[in-house]
Amino acid sequence: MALLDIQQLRVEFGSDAHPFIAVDDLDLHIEQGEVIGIVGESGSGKSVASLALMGLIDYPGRVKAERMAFDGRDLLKMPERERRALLGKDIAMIFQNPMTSLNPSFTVAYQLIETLRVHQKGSKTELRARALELLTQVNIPDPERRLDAYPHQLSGGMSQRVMVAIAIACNPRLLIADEPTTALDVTVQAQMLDLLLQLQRERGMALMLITHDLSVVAQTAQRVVVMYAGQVLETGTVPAIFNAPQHPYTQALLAALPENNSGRERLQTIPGMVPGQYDRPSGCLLSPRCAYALPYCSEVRPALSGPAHANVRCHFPLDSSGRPTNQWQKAS
Amino acid sequence: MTERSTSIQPGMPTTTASEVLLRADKLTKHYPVSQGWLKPKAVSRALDGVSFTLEAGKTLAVVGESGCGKSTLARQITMIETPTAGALWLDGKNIAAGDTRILKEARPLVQMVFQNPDASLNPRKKVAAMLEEPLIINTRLSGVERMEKAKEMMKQVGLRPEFYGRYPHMFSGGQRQRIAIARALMLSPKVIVADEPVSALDVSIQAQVLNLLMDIQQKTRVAYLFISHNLSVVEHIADEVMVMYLGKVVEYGSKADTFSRPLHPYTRALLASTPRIDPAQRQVRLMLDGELPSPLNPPAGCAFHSRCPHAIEQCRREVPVLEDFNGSRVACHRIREIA
Repeated sequence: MALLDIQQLRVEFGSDAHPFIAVDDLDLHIEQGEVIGIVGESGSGKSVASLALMGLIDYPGRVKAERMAFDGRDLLKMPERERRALLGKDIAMIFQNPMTSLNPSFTVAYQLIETLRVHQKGSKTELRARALELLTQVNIPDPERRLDAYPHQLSGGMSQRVMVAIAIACNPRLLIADEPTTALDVTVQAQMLDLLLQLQRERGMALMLITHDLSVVAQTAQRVVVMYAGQVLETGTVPAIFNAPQHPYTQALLAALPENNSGRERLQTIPGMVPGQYDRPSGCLLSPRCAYALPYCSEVRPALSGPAHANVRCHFPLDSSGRPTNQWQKAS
Repeated sequence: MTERSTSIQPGMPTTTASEVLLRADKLTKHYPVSQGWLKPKAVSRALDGVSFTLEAGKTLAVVGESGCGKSTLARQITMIETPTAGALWLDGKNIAAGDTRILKEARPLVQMVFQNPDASLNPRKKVAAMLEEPLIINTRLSGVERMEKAKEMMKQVGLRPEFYGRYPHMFSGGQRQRIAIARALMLSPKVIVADEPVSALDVSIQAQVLNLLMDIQQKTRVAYLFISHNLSVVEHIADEVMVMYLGKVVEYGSKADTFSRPLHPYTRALLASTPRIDPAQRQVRLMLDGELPSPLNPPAGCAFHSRCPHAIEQCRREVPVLEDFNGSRVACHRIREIA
């Protein structure tokens, strides 16, 4: 049984008559102990989807789903009390900017122990000892002294380690990391990714890595979900996605990376920009920017299709040599 | 406005075949930092004897972690601050001496593009006002002429001139960065300091803006001082690379040399830490422990020794100097053994 099973998740903002669909019919399955990468540009709905999972979407946002089950239990149907006991304990989350997600007015120890106190029982000294142990696990040098430090006394990398310590405090089975390294320097980013993977292996927890950086995903994840304007465009294993992408968007995104343009004067670009609330095309959402789009593409919105672990949302998915299939030649 | 001075200042070499626009000579900036009441002020050596040259039509990339002095360097070159010591020759004039007359002439020649266009563009000003402001201050053009120039510039950076009367929030992130670039180009500068110009942008937009920067350079022969922490972007756009660590240059060489055979252990660590899509390009992780030490209290000797895998006793005592090695310049005591 999948650890996390989301079917038809839909998150809307704005009025009922003209809603802005931030996440559009998202299906997501995560197995026990799996590392999954969710990539997409800003506005693709990757963060909103994870916030919906954590129950952090407030009114006027609306979360609807066919099923949003963690370990077989539907999060949307269980009583509020039960759900609160689950979140932060079995599912934990790390946010992008450690400087803004730690409370500047409280010490590291206070913020760590707060999480422990909510989900675990124990005396003051026991909890403090556990907090110290956690800081050691995330490789913070001199943890004894750091316990009584305030966030402003820590560097960026150190604060993010504290965030990780808080997240793993109650031994989560699923850790959601939303752009965990975007605010960090490359050398610290490498340390942080190694730490997350090490914790993931040791504890056998699943890791959901949300990022816009394709190379981070290529290096850490096993499976990738590519999102665009609220929809999943493609899912697949890391080698499959990066060697032979089936969706034109994935192909174009990879081609736009400086790394894949060595020796070339100009970078390949994707024209236009991600559609917003008022300019969502009626057919395929990528159709105005797609190099292979046909009139049919801007009329009929494609559905996600293909075998269970290699879905693609395209009328004319690309073959292994990167050319569109399904009689694209004939139709054009 | 941009007529060249013919008098050649002492210390500045005469123009060679390649035209040196900007030359920094042991540029130094120290900031006093208050330690508290009645305590002596500490000195943060944000920039410590940095020397480099920048030629017209070339791109010098400055690479390093936050706190290494990249942005301090940008503030000296853009003449926002006056350096503590050292000289900075721009077009044959020393702009580090703080001579206000020279500064007034030199300022239009150096412009800046910042990281985040959301923060660097005034949300209450129209594009027109932002593009015309440099012309109002520095030239005597009439209103009609200014509008002509601004519209021409918008075309050059790939914006529709009809958007002239719009506010920044009506544009996408990539378009906003184009406005910021257009504003920097209004006075036809010779040097543009770009401080992480694409790191706030999405991958597909990043490619568009990098292409634009390169097109502009080909057309106008403007020189870029390109500050970035993204090494794959640097690899694409730079001609020369300068790696900084705690206010000092640790390696300075051509792009090809720096990326194909990095010399300094810090450069190697940076390259090894950069995530790569292609598994064949991934290098054995040369993991650095810890983080950048405080510039208030840098380690004695080589500032990098506390994190360096090759550090020996000499590194803890003596400060290495930047010296020529295989066509690059590198500051490391053990370079002959580890190269």
